[in-house]
Amino acid sequence: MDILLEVKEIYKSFGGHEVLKGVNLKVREGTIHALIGPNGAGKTTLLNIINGLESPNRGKILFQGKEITSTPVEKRAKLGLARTFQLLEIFSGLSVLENVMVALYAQRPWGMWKSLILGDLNKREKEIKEEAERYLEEVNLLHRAKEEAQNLPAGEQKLLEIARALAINPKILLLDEPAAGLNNRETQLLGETLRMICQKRGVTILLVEHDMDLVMRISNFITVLNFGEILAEGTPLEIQKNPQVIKAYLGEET
Amino acid sequence: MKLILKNSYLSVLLFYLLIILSGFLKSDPYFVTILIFAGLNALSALGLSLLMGLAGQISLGQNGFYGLGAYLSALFALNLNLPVPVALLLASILTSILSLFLAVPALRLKGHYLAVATLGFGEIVYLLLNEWGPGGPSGFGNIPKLSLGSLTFESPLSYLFLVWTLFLIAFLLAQNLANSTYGRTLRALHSSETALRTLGVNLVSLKVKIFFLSAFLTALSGAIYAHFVTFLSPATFSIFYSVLLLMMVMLGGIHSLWGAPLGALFVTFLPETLRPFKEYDILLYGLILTLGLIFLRKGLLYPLQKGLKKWISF
Repeated sequence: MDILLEVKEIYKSFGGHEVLKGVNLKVREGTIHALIGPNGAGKTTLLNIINGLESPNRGKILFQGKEITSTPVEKRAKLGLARTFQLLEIFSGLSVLENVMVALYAQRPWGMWKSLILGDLNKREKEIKEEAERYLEEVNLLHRAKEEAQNLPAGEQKLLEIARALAINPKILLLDEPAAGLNNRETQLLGETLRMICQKRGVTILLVEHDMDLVMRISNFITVLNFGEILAEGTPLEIQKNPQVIKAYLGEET
Repeated sequence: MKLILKNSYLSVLLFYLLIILSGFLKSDPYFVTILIFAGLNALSALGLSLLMGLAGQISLGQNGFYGLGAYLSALFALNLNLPVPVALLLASILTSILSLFLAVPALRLKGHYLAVATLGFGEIVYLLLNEWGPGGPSGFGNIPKLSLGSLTFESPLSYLFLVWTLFLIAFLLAQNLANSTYGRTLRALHSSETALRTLGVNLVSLKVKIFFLSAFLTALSGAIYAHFVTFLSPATFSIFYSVLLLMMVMLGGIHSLWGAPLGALFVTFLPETLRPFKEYDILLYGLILTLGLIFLRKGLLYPLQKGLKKWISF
């Protein structure tokens, strides 16, 4: 399998505090790759660096073999990197459907002047509306389409972020704790949804998640990050048996 | 009636007819003149409403666009002998292009910083008009009235018609924009720039274009002002005008484009209705505006809509 995303020797510090200390990571195409680790391990920072919201002090990011370390966020999105956020970034003031429509519009914008003249009578408006509905259906949110996005419970807002990210037709989806705020049944459903996205759409997923059941159930590979360093890497089975991981998660026995 | 509320075009048209009709029926030149000023303010406020209400970008420099539009159009007509409609359009377009020089660096800023940067722009224009404008601080006159071919706009009623018709067109177009996914993208800009960037949207282009549109509407309003009053002095174009527009947009209701015309009518007519209070009028004016901003957070629009809906359901 090809390497879709490669993270090489990434260092990042905030005000003297080293958050990432030479992290290496390879994400294979068509897999669900989980990134786990205790709070403060640097997982979100790594996602931010991969999608360009933050830049590393040292190191490289390669996407499809090409370096994108200094490529701006918008361009990375066009290349096929999409993401969701741990602290939600939905568009409040827009409906659930409109949130996805904005993402679709961003892929093939038709400009301000045309919108001034045509408004929502534009043929493309209807097209992206129907397309947006399909994405909502995929994450089981279609029944909420007309509601104001900010009125949704946090769990469903996470699903909305996934639908919105899918709408840009990404090659890789970076998910930051998508199961936080979901109950057991919803987490189950999310797992199935993510698997479908990966298998049917062929979208690679890099998943930051604390819900170990979900991670073990759906991931092909797991990387464990601890205090800014890679602690272990391997299949779910290997990780579950790794004594270092057990130590980091459960603490040393006294 | 329910249909009218639902159909935005129809309610805009009805509002327009109401304004024109009230002007023609009352035909008191004083009243008509105030209505013209309200229309000019509505046009400017619409520009600000698109920028602030829709896209969430603050500008305290609208007085600069208003002044540039007015001065440039007047000077084009006076010194270059351009026909007034050409001067109007040229001045508005040129001002919008000039606004880009401000927009590109300023729109990398956010919130308070953007407010201060635009405020600085408005002040610079105001100072330039004082220093370099014909007549300096005392201004200049003899600006030609608007004429289209053999048709000259002389009477207040003709200007009433012109200003509010232009507003009507601008308002319909603006509503189109707000109802399109472009408008939704602008509202998304208002709520999360980060998310928008991760979806591949070029924020600078988005902001610059809406800034351009906002500047165009405000400059057009200024240009018509110049040919209506036929006399310009820099005092009209001080920061006070920007603050006034801000007040209109906020008082009218920032969450809907309707806030612009409602706020403009209210703020423009308020001092006139307070005339009987003689020396207390300024005090009352300030008091009403302050109380309005405190108690009508959602703007005049909100109670008005509620009232209308109640009335209709009877």
